[in-house]
Amino acid sequence: MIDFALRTLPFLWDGLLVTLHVSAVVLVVSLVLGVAAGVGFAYGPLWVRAPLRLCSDVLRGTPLLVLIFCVYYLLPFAGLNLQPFPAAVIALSAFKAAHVAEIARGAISSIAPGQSDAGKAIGLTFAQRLAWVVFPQALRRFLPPWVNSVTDTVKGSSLVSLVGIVDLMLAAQQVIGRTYEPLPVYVLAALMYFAINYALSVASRRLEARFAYIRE
Amino acid sequence: MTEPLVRIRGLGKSFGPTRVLEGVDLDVGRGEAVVVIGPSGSGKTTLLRCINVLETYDEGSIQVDGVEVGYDGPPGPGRRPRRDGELARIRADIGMVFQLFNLFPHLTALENVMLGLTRVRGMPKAEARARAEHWLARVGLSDRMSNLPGQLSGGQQQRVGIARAVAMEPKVLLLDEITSALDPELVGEVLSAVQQLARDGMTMVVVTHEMTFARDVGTRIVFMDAARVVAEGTPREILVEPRHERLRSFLARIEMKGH
Amino acid sequence: MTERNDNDAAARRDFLRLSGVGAAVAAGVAATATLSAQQAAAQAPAGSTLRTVLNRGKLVVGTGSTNAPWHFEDDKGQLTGMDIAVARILARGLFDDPSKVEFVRQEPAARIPNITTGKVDIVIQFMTMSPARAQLVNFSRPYYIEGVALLTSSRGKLKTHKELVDAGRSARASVLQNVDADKLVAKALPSATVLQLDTQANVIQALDSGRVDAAVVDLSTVGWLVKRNPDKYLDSGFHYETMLYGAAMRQGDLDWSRFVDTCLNVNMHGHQTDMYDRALDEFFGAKPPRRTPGFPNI
Repeated sequence: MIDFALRTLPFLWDGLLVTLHVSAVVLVVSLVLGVAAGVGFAYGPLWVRAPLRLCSDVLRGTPLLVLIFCVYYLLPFAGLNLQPFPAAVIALSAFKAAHVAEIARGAISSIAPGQSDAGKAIGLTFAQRLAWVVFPQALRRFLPPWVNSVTDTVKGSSLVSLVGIVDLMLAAQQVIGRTYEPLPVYVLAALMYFAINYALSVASRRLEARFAYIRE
Repeated sequence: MTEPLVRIRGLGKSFGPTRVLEGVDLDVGRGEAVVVIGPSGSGKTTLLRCINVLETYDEGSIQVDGVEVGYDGPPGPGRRPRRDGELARIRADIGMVFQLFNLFPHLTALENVMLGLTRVRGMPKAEARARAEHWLARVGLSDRMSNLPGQLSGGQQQRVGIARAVAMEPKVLLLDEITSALDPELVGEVLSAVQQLARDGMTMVVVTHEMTFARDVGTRIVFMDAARVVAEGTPREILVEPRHERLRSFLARIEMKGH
Repeated sequence: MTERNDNDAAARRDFLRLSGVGAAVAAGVAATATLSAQQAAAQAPAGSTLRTVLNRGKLVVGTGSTNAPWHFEDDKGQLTGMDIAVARILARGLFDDPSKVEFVRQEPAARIPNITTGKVDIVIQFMTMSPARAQLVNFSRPYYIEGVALLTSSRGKLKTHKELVDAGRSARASVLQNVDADKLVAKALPSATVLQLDTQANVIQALDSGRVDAAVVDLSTVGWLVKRNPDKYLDSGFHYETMLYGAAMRQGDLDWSRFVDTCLNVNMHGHQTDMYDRALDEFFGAKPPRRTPGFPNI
């Protein structure tokens, strides 16, 4: 059994790296887009907020699997034929970005208007107010729900196996297809997913502690 | 006769159907301390917030040191509201202290004062720190510089707010009911800080309910009611020998509250 | 909500400049994605796939990666199997180089969509030819006829088909869950007890653990397992059912279809049969029938 585990480990390891890669790209892209959209929700004029609201509702209301297939199979009819990896990453990032936007919007809106007034009064521009006054305070309210969503991202990344990307999920299935021994492989894969999410929850506790000094 | 530092002509503003400012004219000369009093809803806070364009104004003109603050030109067709970047430059020279302090809770007292100096004035850190320490000492908070706002009393927070505004060396200082949210025993320390600034020649526009302060510090008192300037004069003319009917009843109401 | 008063028209204009950063990131991802050779396949509608593939210099094949002996990863992580071998046969026919293939791993459900949307040039993924599917894709000539067979264990009491039939009701057989599964088993073992299981791996696992005497699986699977583990597994000898496996291509592309058929004919019945015969032996332990010149019987 141990010998078997050792032989299959390299394949699962490669799949794990792909899972981490997909998750990392989705995290970064969805963070950038989601925070930008959150700023749009909090500060934008109606002609920005309304389309953002529409996109966000559609994305959050559509199952992730359907989104991936839409991006992979429907976009070619609009002229954009994507490889599986970019298609899956775009679909996952769009989905997560909508969630991140809600978290960001809530965090930013919870900052009292007086803070922006004070920032304006000392001559800070909009970008400077965001960077030095709003974001540092919003960060504390943003982090806990966002870190929660990170584990969802890692779990959701397993869907990329359905468009042929060899992540941990597909790597496990390939090994089983060759060896016909499903149980030990799935146990190993589950342990790897657990290891990722455990590391994430430890990191999240540290992050929260670090930003706890701001009193309400 | 030199140009007034703040020159307001025909200022008008509506909030939806309600008129909140109507035909307001006001001059503030260099070194003057103009105190604006009046019942709540009279428009006095709105007037103050228009000077540094925290509120926009619809008609009229506000010039600070010769520059129109809210628009790119004097009243007339086709004048454009100022953009964020232009406003930031103008606001850097106008200081404001708020009723609810509005200190940045994630920064220490020292960092609160330094933020504008480093990011807006572009000072090197050492110089900004020195200037911030100087002003915090002037308001009596040398021993509190590393405290976060959450660790300070109301009076101490407001004094930090004053230091933050004054450290930028603004041309004019706007004070928006800065003692209204303070416990009575903390009011004194804040008022004496402001008094010292006035004595040192800071131009200021003050909105307040503290009549003793208005009388002691103000070079000119302005009484507003229902969106208009109703009376204007020296402290003696307005507070001691009021001639206007509405002014007299306003003062009477304040007297009865024991101010 | 913060900043709701009309003072912030200025701020709103400036936030839009900042949000350009987010838009740029999204555009960047999309831009790199469009640098894909597959795009050439999808956006050459009237042009022939054959011309496109030859110009591209490699064949893009849709196939699976989780089913031995058709498409799976070997111990070194390389894709191998009968479907892979057929892909390499086509690559040799195109470029004189069997290595000029790019494999796109896909689920069985994606076999037809990936053809109709032009993600791949051809699908070679143990695909059963059926009239319903032939209305959506063009099939090549069959490259294998799949059947059903009974896998038995060398440690079991019942090893041959005759022994299994003679055991009557006391013979137990496992089979993949399906609406016609019981009927399928009955064709080989009229009175055996049937155990339906959810995956192929579990069907074989039941034989390994002695819960059943025979596993009713694909003929190709029996061939593969017996070839790999002759001490463990046996072929009971009964082969039945016939399903034609063909490669799937986009409709409306005559030259590509004819090329693939010709290539397969030459490699199965003509003068270039080395690769096909080797794969037949490697994956099924089987030998092709004698090829006779003269009257064509293909």
